Amino acid sequence: MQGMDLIVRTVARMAAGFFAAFGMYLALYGHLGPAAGGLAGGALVAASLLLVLVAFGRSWAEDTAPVRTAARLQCVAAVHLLVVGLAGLGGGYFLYNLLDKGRQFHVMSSGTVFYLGVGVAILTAAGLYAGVRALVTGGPEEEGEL
Amino acid sequence: MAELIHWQLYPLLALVLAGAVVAVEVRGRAASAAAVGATGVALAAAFVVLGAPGLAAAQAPVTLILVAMLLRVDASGGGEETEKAGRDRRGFVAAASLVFAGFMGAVLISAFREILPFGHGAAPPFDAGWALGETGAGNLVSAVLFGLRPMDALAAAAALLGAVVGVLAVVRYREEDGDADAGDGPDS
Repeated sequence: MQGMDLIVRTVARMAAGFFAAFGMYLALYGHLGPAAGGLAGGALVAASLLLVLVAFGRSWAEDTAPVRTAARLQCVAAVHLLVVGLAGLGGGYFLYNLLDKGRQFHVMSSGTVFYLGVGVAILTAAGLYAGVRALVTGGPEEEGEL
Repeated sequence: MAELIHWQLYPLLALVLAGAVVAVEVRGRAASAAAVGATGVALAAAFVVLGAPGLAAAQAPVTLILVAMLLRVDASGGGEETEKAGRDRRGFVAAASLVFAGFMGAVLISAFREILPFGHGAAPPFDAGWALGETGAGNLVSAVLFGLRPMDALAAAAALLGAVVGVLAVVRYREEDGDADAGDGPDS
């Protein structure tokens, strides 16, 4: 996959950072603000990476954000969700919210809700990026340059 | 919680597990499609037993479409099939489809007998203020999704994980030994 021309690359470089930052904001503040949460935030981060992939081409993606790393990050996020769930067994049942709820409308509030949201965001971002990237740039038939 | 677990669930869940294992392990694609159909029917029946007829009625068309797609793939592949093998396969598909339709019909009838009339719903078991206080979250959607019903969020994440692992398996992404750059590329 070849990169696109200078105008697209410049706009993508400027926009991707904002998209990624907004996605991380949604993931971290999803339990407080009116907007979204882990899934939407993760999807936005993945979209920002895919925007740069489309603009800069496959070589950028292989150097900066390999599928291998994204797939491993997704697995780490899945284990994180599992650990949060199993920790709830200490309070009575799987996924029980046993952490301190804190003060409402503060970032570190709502106990495991915050950690589940962040875990889902990482899993969504890494998973969507790895899946779409593998479908777009890889496969046995497309070995070599696509 | 214990009173919510009905004894009928155990054979149905055993059938779901057995169907899933058979669908993956069996060699013939038509047989695999039949196993997927059995898994879907058992899952829909389990939803009926659990008192979720709407979910069972949604599971039924999903299974139907999935089995139809798998059988279509099976019919379009295998060009070198002999006359007798083709007859056998079509006979198997017809018999499996009839059995599948019978079971699915029974599950759907029992689901629709329990489903609430359109426009009538059960009152939610909580109100918004209680949900926010209970979870400590400031956003009601997050409070419900991650605080009150976290298993739903976990299931959605698991579905995404499974989908991505499936995609990576299908396009044959594999790590090559000792070569960091080439390891990311497609492997034939």
